[in-house]
Amino acid sequence: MAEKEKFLGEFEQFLLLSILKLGDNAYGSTIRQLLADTIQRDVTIGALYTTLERLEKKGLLESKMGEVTPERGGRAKKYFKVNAKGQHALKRSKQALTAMWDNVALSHQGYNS
Amino acid sequence: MKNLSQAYSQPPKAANKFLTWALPDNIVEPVLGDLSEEYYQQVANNSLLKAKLWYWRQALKSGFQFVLKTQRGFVMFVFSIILFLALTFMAMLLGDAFDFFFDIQSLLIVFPPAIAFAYAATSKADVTNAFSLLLGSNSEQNEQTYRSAKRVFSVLGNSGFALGVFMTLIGWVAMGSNMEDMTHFGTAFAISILALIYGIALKMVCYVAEQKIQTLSELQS
Repeated sequence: MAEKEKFLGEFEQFLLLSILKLGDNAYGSTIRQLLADTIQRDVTIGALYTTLERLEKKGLLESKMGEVTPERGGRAKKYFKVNAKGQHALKRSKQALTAMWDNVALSHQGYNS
Repeated sequence: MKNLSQAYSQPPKAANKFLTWALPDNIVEPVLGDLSEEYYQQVANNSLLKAKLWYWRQALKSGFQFVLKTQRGFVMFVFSIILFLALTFMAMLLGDAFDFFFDIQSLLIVFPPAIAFAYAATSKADVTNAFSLLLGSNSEQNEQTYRSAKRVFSVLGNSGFALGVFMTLIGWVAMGSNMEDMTHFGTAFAISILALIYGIALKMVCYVAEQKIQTLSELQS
């Protein structure tokens, strides 16, 4: 990966991690619900697909159309999978964050929660 | 009764139509499927009203997120019409006679006959198709369809303009026949001009619509 390549954004990381956590069952609804349950972030389906499309264009994930089910009004699911490039980008972002956090001690002044 | 309640518990059809129009083609099916799946969960866990409100919120927020990308031409068309109307209203307000620019009779003698002429000169299907093309909900058409759509706006605009001129001239003839009483001449003259203004406004909007269809046709070919 080129040195100058940008790190992943926060939401991009959340999405890629959700897809990895969900494994073979990663599609719009399940990703949305996992984000709501795990980090209490209620994203619209439109925002979700905007970022998923961007990640797919960047070549960090792959998608395929799945089966049609009655509870979806006879519409197919679109499954997502993080590929090797996506996993590498995630690792790189995590390493960068860990390196930045190294030797950082937060003071409790002004921190009320 | 059961069928009625089943139909009522379906996701809102209008929201689905809006999403189908606003979303890129490649994600319409998965997005509608995902929303349906979660909607039925919401119906099971919450009230039907809550589920419908949730669905509408998702549909509107998601649709507007994509509409500038997928329906840019339509958005720009609407924006230009709004700008035109805003500038027109501003000019009326500056003229300090805002109420005077609205005359139901003048509106009725320009718009309904112009619409009737458009239907008469083309067909109901052509008129419907022309507006569908303009709204961007009827993409991928053949050359003949674009030609018919252009004709609809051409007839509508030209008829509106001609009706405006015609009605104004009738007003002048009526005024000319009552020249001995000049007390209401100014008011009568102003009202006679209103039909012409409405006709010109309709012609202008139809001209833009016609050019928009022309652009769509050229992009298609």
